[in-house]
Formats: sequence, C-alpha cells, structure tokens
Amino acid sequence: MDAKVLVTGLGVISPIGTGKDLFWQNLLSGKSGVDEIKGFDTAEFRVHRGCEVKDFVSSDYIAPLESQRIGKASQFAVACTKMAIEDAHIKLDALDSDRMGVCFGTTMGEAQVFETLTYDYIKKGKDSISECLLVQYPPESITANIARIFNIKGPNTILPAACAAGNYAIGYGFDMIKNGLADIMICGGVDVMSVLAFTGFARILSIAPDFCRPFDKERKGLILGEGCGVVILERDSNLKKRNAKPYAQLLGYSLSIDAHHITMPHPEGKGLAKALKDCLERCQISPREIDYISAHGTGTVANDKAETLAVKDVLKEDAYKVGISSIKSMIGHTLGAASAIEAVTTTLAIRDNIVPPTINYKTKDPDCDLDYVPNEARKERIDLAISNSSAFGGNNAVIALGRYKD
Amino acid sequence: MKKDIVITGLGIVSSAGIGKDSFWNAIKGSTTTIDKINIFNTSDLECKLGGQVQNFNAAQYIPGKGLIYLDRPTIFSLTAARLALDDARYPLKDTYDDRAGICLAILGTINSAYDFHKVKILQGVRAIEPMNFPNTVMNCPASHISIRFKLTGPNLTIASGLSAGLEAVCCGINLIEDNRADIVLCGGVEELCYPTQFALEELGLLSRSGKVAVFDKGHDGYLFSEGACFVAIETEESAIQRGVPIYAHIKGFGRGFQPAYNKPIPEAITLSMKQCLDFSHTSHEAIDLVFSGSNACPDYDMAEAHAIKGIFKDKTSVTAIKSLVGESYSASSAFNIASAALSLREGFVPKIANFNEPFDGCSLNIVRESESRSLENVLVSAFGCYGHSVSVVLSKK
Repeated sequence: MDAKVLVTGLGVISPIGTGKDLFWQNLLSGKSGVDEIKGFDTAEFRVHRGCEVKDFVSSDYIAPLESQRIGKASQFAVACTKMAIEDAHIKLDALDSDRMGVCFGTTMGEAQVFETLTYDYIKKGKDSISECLLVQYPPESITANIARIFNIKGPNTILPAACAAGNYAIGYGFDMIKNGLADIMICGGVDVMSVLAFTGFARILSIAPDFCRPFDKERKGLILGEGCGVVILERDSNLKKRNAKPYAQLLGYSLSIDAHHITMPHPEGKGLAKALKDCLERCQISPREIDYISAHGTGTVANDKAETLAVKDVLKEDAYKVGISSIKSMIGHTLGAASAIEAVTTTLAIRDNIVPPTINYKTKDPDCDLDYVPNEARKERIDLAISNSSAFGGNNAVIALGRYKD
Repeated sequence: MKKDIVITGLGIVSSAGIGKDSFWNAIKGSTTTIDKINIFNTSDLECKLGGQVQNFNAAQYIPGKGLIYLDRPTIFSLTAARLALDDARYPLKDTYDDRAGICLAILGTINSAYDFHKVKILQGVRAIEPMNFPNTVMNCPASHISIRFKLTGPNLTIASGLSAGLEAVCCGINLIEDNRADIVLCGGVEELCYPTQFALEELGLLSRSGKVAVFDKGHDGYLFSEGACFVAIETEESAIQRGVPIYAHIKGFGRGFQPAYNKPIPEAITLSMKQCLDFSHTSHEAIDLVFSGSNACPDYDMAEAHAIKGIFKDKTSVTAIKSLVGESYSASSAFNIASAALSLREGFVPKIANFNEPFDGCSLNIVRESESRSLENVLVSAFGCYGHSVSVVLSKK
C-alpha cells in the first residue's frame, strides 16, 4: 500500500513539564530537569541526582478508581495518550475502534510495581503481597490499559527494546499502517524512575554526579530520568476523512543491533551507522537533505563518541553541516521513553523551524567535533529530520520525519 | 501474505530435554514433563510442581567464555537459537550476518531482577555485582543471541504476554516481507523461578490437583514450565535455494484485541481466528486440527472453547499441549507452533493429556487418543488475560 504515515497528535510527560506546550517551551529555553532525587533515598549511592517528573497529577487525566488498579508506568502512558488523542482532535466515538491500535516501548515496564512487590515480600513477608498489585506487573498491561480505557481494539503490543524502545514502537506502528492493519496507531515509550535501574547504572559507573553534558569533553555519564512520549501515527486518507492537519510525515525507520557488547556500544558506532544508512536508503533521503538530527546523546564517553563516528560515517562531509542536539542534556535519560519524547521533539522542530539546544556544553571534545547546537535553541528551516536511538544490548533504531507535502 | 513464508528450523529447550526430539517424543508418548521442582526451595509454597529444564552443558551450544555470567533465560535462548539455526542448516559465519534476525518473546528476566533488587535491599548497594545489571533488562537474552552468534539483523523483544510468541512470528514475517532479513528466529523464553511460582500461586492460577487438564471437568489451573523455543522462518524460495527441508508453510495470521483486565475475553480469540482464516484464505472447514492455547484455568478454557465453537462448530479436532508440557507464558505459543509444525510434517495428532470428560458446556471435538493422520492445515491459537490474541494457520503446502 502506498499510504503516507502522518504524525497527527503528540503527548509528553517529562522532567521539564507535563504537556506538549510546557515541555516545548522549557526545552527551547534550555531548562534543566536535573535535581537531587526525591523519590527514594540515595544516601548509600555515590550519585544523587536524577530527572524526576515533578508536575504529574494522575487525577488530571485518569479516574481515581482506575489509577488505583494500574501501575505508574501505565498511568503515564494513559495520561500521555489522552493528551495526544485530544491534541489530534480525535473523536473516539466517531472512529472504528478496530482500526486503531497501540504500541509502546519500555525498558523496565512497571518497575515501581516490581520494586514494591520485592521490597514488601522481603521486608514484610509473603502475606503482605496483594493480588491487586501482582496483576499490575506484566508489561503487556501497559498497552492493554490504554486500549481498555479508551476502548481501542486494533493491534496492541509492547516492545521492551531498552533505550531505543520508543523508536521500535514507532516503527511497529508505521508498519501496521503501511500494511493496512490499522488506520491510526498510538505509539509511545514510557519508563518510570526505577531504583533498580538507578542502582544498576550507578554500579556500572554510568551516572554523572552533576549534569548530563552530551558531547562535551568533560562529560561524565548519564542522568537517569523518567517520562512518557506519545506520537499518534495516522494514514493520510484517514486524516483527510477527519479533516484534520498533520504535524509531519513519518518517512520510515530502520533497526539494527551492534552485536558487540551487552552494555557498551560498538566503539566505532557501526551498528548505529548501519541503521542510519539503511533509514536514509529506505526513505530515499540523501545526507545533505537532513536539516536536524536528534541525537541519542546520553552523555557517556562511549555513546557520544560512537554516535559521532556513526553520523560522520554515513553523512561524510554533510555531518558538519547539520545541527545535532541531545535533549537528554535537559531531561536526562528517560530510557524507554527517550526516543518517543525525542520523536515529539523532532516533530515540533519541524512544525516551528527551531531546534532545541544541547545544554551544559562548554568544552569541545576532539572526538566529538560536530555542531551540537550548544546551549541555545536555533531557528532554522527544518524540513527533514532524523532521530537516533541506541540501547543496552546494542539495539539501535533510527526514524526519519519530514514536513508533510500534500 | 506478500511472500510465501515457511518454517525450516526448530530449536527447543524444554522440561522434556534439549532439542526438538525429546520435546516431540514427550508429546507423542503423552509423557508429562512436569515434576517436583528442585531448582529452588518450595517449602513455603503449596505447589511444588513445575516443568524444569534439567542441567545441561550449555557450552556445547554457545560459543565463547563467560557463560557463568548469563542467567538461565539467556542460556535457554542462546541454546534454542543455536538449535534452530542448526536445524535450519543455516551456517553461522565468522563475519557478521545482517540478514538473520531475532524476535523473542519474554515476560521479563524476573529472577535476575528479583535477585538484583534483593541484594540491594538486604545488603546495600555496594554488595551488588555490576555484571548482574544487564541480566535485569528484558532485551538482554535476545541481545546476547546477536552478540554470541554475530547476528546483526533486526532484533526485537516482545512482551505482549501469552500470545507474544505468535506475535514474534508475525513480526518475523513482517521483517522478511519488508526485506529487512532473510531468516528470522521467532520464539519465546521463560524461566521457572521462585518469584514467578509464588506470584502465580497467589493469583490462584496454579493447579491444586497437581495436573494440567485442559478443557476437562476437573480443570483447576496450570503448572508452570520453563524453556525456550524458536522457529526459524524464511521465504519458501530461500528454503528451496538453500536446499533445506520445510516443516510447514505459514499461510496467514490474525491478531485480535479486546479490552480486558486480568480475564481472557472470548471475543478477542474469535477475532484473531477469523482474521487469521480470512488472511490465510482458508475456510474453517479446511482446518484439520486446532492447537489450543488454553491452559486448564477455567476462565481460559471457557473463553477459548466459546471461540472455537463459534467458528469451527464443534467439528474440528482440538488438541492442547499445555496439559503435557505446562504453561510457559511467553514461550508457550512458540512451543505450540513448533508442535503444530511437527504434527503437520509427521501426520500426527497428539491427544489432550489428563482429559476424561469435558467441563460443563464444552462440546468441542477433543482429541482423546493420539493418532497418525495426514493433516493439511492446522490453526495455532494463543491468548492472554489482558485482551491479546494471535492465531496462525500452518499448512503442508
């Protein structure tokens, strides 16, 4: 089928604001979401900072009785979906619910449910464990809860592709529409602050003590975050029926895996380079057409160097002509939510012809010598943009977004 | 389907043993693979039964060092992947192979995550071994397959529950049709561990009678069984070119979803079966055997019986392997499709074990005695309690 896949609605919950407009405003002003972690005690750790969501009130989006029976990740996902559906001006009653589906990505799933169950079992004993909490654990409940609350009956799945999960979900949604199996796909990524993840990243010395400084010579690692991003993908013919306007067109995606190491990226970024090259070929984009790259840019020594090499490998001299920024400098690494929030960001960059900065950038690193849009947002015409993501385990996913031409 | 896709390899690690032969022999001999659990302490659990993968020498299947740092789901996945590739006669290369993909279904590496967090709670952060962190992340087993076997094609992990193994098959088909891979290992893995056994018991899902009796009057839940299972899929053209035998053709698939909260919904199963039959251009009369995804939990049995009756009108034979091999969650539908492929190839119809008389209201045409019978088309069903359902039709040609 020759359907075009359009982005028609956006939703975001982030450490710098809940809601697309507040998030975008803060992103462009270079606001940092980093602070001392309040959600759990970090006294025994050497690092203490994170990017927590500060302004999410579940009752603003979800009936209290419903909130009580779903985990925090589901609450983020449901609320974000609600925002995106409203943003897309979708009237659920007027649509065929079988032709609408949900696909999300995550790293840790309902991490806080799991951690509570584990803690209660160990500290309070098996009798403290409630069935009500156990049923909230399975990752499939996240997308199932969205579908149940909004009565959406099309394809439904969850892809735990770690830090690239959002883009994996977006790719799945793209294929569902292209293959005629859905007209609308709600695609997103979600992760809540996880003590387990924080512990793990801290123990492998990946967490920065102060800020996230992607591509900076003094970068010391990532800052763990939480959040959710949703993009609504829609078949162009369906949009015409609804008489609604798209933000942008999702041109395509590509997947790859480094097959190098379970935590470290390929040192030359070969896996990401392959995904990037394949994406450009599939979407018939030449490197010089790219106006913006949303980087994976975690702020670790390894990732940022590898990503720079990957971009240079594929774009060659054109790599030096395009702005590449990492919003993880502001919102931290939100794991499974990251590339979904970055897809929201890239879409808005196209809408407004402005790219967000990489903040905390002070010292140039000879290994990272591209234009990372340091510290200030930049106005420029963005017709075509790429968003990179790489994950634990070596998974990579790249998406291409472009200005929609009817 | 845009391309003719076939199954050319099976890789099975199960409580019956390592390899497809031990698994299939158990199915054919109707020999249960469930036994007393000895891999963890069950003293405070009522249910002490499960399907355990017995210790085996993983090094004969998995290259490289450091196997001791890999958790059991990863070891199972790596072994099953190797077995599937060998069975498909797909050679591992010294260089990276970017045309071989992986789609692996999993609930989570629960035991690794539990142990990791338990150490933090009881002994503190400094007691945590950093090398244990990767095992806690859900895509770890699939990633290790790529690393160890140098497979750099697309690599997906899927966590949509009991139907995730068949969802993995659907994703694999999509990868091949979209020219992103030439061969894809599609399957699932789960581990039998204390946290899972405890949780299932708390949820009332485990059988008190100590047996799994799908569709039977005495059905009272399941017994959990661990393992990993991959089916290797590729185009028929590729299989012929490579000169490898074909187990079965994948004629089509269907996905059904109906909103649900912790209860299986018959309408979801009906939808997936109908969509599957339509997509396969196969009438219900042409289906010789249905491989049920049910697991002897009364709600599950009733939901699927209702769906099967609605479409197949109690005429088509119905079998269910979970009575023998237990419930393996994300891996279960992979075991099911592997069984279906073997049944088709050999012309064997396995009976439902532990079946005496149907539950009230069940009028399905249950396979009560195993038999040799030529089969042309079979339907494999999988569904969970959060609304997901996937069906696949396999055919001989």
